[in-house]
Amino acid sequence: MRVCLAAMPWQAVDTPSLAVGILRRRVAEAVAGAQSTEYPGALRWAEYLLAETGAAVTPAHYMLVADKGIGHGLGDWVFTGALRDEPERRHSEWPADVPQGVVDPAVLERMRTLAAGFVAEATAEILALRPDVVGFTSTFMQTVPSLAVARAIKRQRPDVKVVFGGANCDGPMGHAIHRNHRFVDFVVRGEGEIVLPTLLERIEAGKPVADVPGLCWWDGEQSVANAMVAHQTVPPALIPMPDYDAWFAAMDVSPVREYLSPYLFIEGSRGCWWGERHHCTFCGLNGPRMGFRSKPADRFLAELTHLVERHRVLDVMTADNIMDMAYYRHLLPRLAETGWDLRIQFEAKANVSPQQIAQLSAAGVCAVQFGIESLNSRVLKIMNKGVTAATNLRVLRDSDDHHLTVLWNYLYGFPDESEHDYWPVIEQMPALVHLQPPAGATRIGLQRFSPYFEKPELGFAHRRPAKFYGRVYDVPEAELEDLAYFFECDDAGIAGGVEKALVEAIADWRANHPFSSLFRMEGPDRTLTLRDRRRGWPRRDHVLTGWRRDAYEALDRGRTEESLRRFLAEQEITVDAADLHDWLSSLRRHGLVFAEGDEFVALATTDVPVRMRTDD
Amino acid sequence: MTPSYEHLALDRPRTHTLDHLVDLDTNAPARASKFIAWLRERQSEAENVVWHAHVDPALDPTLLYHLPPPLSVAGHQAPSPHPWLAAHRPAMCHYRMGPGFILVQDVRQPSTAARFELDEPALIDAFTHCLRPRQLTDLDGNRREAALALVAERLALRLGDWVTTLPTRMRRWPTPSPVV
Repeated sequence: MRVCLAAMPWQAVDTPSLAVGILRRRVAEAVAGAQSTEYPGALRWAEYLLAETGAAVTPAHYMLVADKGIGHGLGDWVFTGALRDEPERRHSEWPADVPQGVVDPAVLERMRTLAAGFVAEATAEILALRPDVVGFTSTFMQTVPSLAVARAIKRQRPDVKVVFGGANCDGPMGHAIHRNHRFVDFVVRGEGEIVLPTLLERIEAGKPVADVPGLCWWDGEQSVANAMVAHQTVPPALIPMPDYDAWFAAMDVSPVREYLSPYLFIEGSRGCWWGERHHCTFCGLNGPRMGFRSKPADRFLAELTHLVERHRVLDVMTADNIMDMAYYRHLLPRLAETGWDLRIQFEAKANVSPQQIAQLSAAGVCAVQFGIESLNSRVLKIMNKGVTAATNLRVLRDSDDHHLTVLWNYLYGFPDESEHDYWPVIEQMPALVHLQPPAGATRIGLQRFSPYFEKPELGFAHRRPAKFYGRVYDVPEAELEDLAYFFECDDAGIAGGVEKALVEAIADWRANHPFSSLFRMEGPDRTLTLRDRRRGWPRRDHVLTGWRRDAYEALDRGRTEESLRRFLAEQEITVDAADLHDWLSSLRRHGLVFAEGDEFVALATTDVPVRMRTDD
Repeated sequence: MTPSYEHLALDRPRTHTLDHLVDLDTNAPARASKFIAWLRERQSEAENVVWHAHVDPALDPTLLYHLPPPLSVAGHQAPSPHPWLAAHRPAMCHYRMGPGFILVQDVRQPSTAARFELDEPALIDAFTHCLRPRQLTDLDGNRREAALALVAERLALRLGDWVTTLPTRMRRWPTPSPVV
């Protein structure tokens, strides 16, 4: 049996598909006699755009659509005409609701005119591999491009079996894709490491598939969806190291290589150990499988080492939704010992100590998505994040000390929040300009599988599939209810003046950040100087001596006035209560602390990373 | 509009301030080479250097654009920034150690931007050996040949008989530096 696994646009063009890499190895080890090949559809589309436009449409344009187009389905829109052999019909339906400046409409329309030609080329290249089965993995905007090629394959070779899988096929979405597209023979819903090999064996043997968990299949003209086994997950032992040989071989000789710096995409874990206990109310990332599973540190390190040595790539993106806490003890120190200059990106929980941030940095982790989301404890509680504003401020401050990039967005629009949760933060944002700013202020969206989706009573009772689904799928409206991952709903939480002020304050933060620092320096006789070079503040050195130095350092972890007084008393430092109160007021006035209610957090860093201007 | 280099003058801890004018004089190659190696290490450690330079016209300054730029260059007329300061960006020419290879990225001159993957033991040896300025006459034949190959690729600076590796080591990335 010959199996071709395809990762179509809009998979990131500068990294191999993790799903294809893993499943190729699973097929090789679990299906006797199977030969697997792959079709790097994202790479081929980028090459096609480059060649057909005389390098006017580059991989940078591709990545802009891949990154910015998700919430608007722009990548699907590019291929929707090719899916139905009607490139012009929807041409006039350029979505008026897509904000200007997201992606140049002229570039998108040019891509759209090229989509049919690319689908023909992709189909020919895949069929030249003489596959018995073609599998498509689909996340976000990969479904329509995959459907377009799948349809063309079945037209030319009806005997080839077409299988869909991936995050877009989870739960009801997979059944909706199946029953609305007769040319899709099977849809694997949920993780594919066990189900896909089973399916391939059944296809080869001509045996029934009615008992394959979660699978969608055709019983005559009837689409059948086998029941999914609730919460069934694949154990890490059955998740092999991805096989990236073919992708790197293709990339090495590709004309787009000179435009890109390829990186490795690997995973240490699936699920979320925090979400198992406290599911963040807006998050749908883990689908119905929250159960946390992690590869042991030994194995993660061995796989990383193999891939780094084999492909000579030091940039590493991890797919983990939350880093295993055991990695702090068992993985990071060993990565640091390698002496390699890795650049790794992880997602992690924000409750980390300064020592753990130092460990991340020493191991070659250069960017972390800590899930900061907000600087207000009440809003953080509404979203079930399990952190406070003080925790998040500490992470921002201590990450600067270790030159760690912090990736975050300021989320708003939660039910039950009020403007009183925002004004005190907005007023203090000018004091934060030396810390890494959020990418922007973002109103939360409604995602399938999130608590806000599953429980309408939490505040988003009225919902409908995001507008773009109606543009890119030619299916009845009711079908979109099952097919969609993104939903629109009535706005919750703040609006109007406070929303505008939040957006503007964050824009100012971003503008001033490259030119702002506030850091502490040791001086003689245990003095501590806070050097203030923030935009919008007087250039000033605040010299702290005596108890004030101890007190400022004690505010690193966030304390109330009473807690600080007790701490000083334990150090046998006597401070008049009124003096302490006045001093804290003075710190607040000079923007040297962040205050929430009666809690204060020190803002001065000990080091300042080199700043990369984001408009560079 | 803000000049694009202004953020490079941001006050930061771990700043070295040099009071004297530094003369990058090709007629004093040992001294100039040692200073350039020192400057390279400061950049590798993400430290600030506040300094003023005299640059010998015989020295190609574009080779040094990735190193902490002097605030002023003798003979250059304000108000426009001198080319070194105007051209400098973080991470313009750097190397990264991997298992059995060194990756080098060089965008000092956009028109000749290049990536190198050093995996020949002789090149790796010469690259690391010349992180400390070395005299060609002190290098054995293979090492000398490899060092001159690095000079030809602009990855090492030759001043007289002295050779110094130029790329900075990238361990402390500027922020933001996401992988994706």
